[in-house]
Amino acid sequence: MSAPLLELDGLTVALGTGGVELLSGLSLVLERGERLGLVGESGSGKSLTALAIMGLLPEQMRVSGGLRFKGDDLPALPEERMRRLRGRRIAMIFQEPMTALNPVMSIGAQIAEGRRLHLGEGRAEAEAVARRLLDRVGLPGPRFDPGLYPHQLSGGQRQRVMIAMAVACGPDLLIADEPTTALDVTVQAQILDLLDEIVEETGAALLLITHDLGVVSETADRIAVMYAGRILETGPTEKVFARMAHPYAHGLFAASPYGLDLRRAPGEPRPRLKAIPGMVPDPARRPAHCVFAERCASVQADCLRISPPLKPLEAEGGRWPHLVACLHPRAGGAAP
Amino acid sequence: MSLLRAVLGSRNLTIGLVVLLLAAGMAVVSEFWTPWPPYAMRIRDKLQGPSLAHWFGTDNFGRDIFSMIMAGARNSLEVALTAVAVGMGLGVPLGALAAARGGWIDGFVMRLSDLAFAFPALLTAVIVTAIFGPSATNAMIAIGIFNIPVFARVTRGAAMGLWKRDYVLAARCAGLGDAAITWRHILPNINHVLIVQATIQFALAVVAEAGLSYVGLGAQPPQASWGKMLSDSQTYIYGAPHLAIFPGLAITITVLGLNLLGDGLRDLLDPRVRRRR
Repeated sequence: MSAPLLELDGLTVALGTGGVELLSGLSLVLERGERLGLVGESGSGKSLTALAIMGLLPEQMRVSGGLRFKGDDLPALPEERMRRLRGRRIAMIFQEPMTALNPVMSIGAQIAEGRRLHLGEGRAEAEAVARRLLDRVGLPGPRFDPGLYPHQLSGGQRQRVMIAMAVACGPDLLIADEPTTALDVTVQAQILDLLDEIVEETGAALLLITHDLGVVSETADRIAVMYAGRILETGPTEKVFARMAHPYAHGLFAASPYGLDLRRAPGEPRPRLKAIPGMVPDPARRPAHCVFAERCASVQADCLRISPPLKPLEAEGGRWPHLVACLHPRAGGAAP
Repeated sequence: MSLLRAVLGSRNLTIGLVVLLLAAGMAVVSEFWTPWPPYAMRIRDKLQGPSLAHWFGTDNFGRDIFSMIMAGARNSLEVALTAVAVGMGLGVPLGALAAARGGWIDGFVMRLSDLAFAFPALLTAVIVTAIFGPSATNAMIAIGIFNIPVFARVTRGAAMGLWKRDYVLAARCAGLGDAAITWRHILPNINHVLIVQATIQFALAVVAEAGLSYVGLGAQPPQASWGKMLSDSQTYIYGAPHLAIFPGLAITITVLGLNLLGDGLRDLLDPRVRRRR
């Protein structure tokens, strides 16, 4: 079997020599054509994971553990080769379309930039492709000319431009870091549909980073719930949604209107959203035992002794087993 | 055509451009034609007031002041243009490098410019001209050297903020290196700052050239220079004030025009203002 497209094998990111761990032992596998949702609240290390894959972590951070792309160990690659991967094989879509486009460069030139750099196309050639890409992402001519500047577009339109930029060179892996967070709800659905179609068409893998459960449930085949730099629960989206075995995953669902709605029987009154008490622990003061123990409603004595590893919930597992890092996983049923 | 409309739509820009074109036009025409030969002395006609024959009058050697101002325009603009070109040519790359690399390179470039700033502009010029001898060429070099740290700082300051922007991160994610990001994303975003700074430095250079010539370290006689004309006029300031008024006005109007031009360009070059439909 050939090497998987993206493989995180105990990826750990630590700050400086003090060794404060920001990401602890992340393991993920992503194949072409797959959509993986990375979910978690602010500060859980989602965006850091994306930057680590891109090789754009700040200099003070040290990467250890496995981080392989098509079998290549990314942290060991020289910057020169890494640069040829970025944009060409791995592309990224950012959260804030208002600031992630260069205000003084026409959108056509920004879309064409990657092709000129990586594929060596001339200006005219690359801009013709940019024209087609604009059509593809739902910004048809003549209304949307490649000569337009970002300030002439709305947030949703700019996010479409960002998507066109990201897919311009036909990457194998598309990382979307909260691609819809800054957008109106009505526009969010359109952007997600577009991402979905693009992944379908190009066969690229999608790593979708979000805190929005509605977004993952619509888009992702599998999800991984992150908390305090760790993955606490991962598996096929339906299975995770059906069981929510980790108390944190369940808390996250109960705290979101989407998660709650999903579990509500028709006609039942809408219950109140449940906030998870407490805060994400400071990376420098993460406990040696279960990282969620301090905020967990069903904490027991052994939770404060060891840090549980990810373990399969069911014996048979399948291609993508449902894994959870909890000593006392919740039984089935997700009623709050 | 929309560019022409934009230029005419801004009063500052129109006035600034007209003044600059007038000054440049005088400088070019003076190469081929002046009402009187600017360096020919006619002692018989000395210290005449403005008249139809001599529009701005004559000086203590009977030279036609209007002709001298035309010839002086060439000297002023040439010195100022070269000085700004030297300052930008060296200062902008240094500042961009400092912003892109940070760390000790940044520190080194900035301390170097602090060192240059520690000497007042005129003193720098005096040092250079004292070492290499007074001449218009050395005045250009002296003013140019003073301009290097100005452009280095402005470039670094404007670029530093941009390096933290999301679109620079996006450019990194697209696989661009530091040099390509500087060239394609940083400089186009700060060029309006640089152009405005260039017009300001241009205006300052005109004043600096006049100052150097005034103290005798710039253009040497008989070469015409506005600053030199001013210094020569001192002795006659009560009897023949026009000797001081006309070169003084030439300097004032040119500098004012350049400043207005800078303001107008700043408004024009900001794409957020320009291309709104």
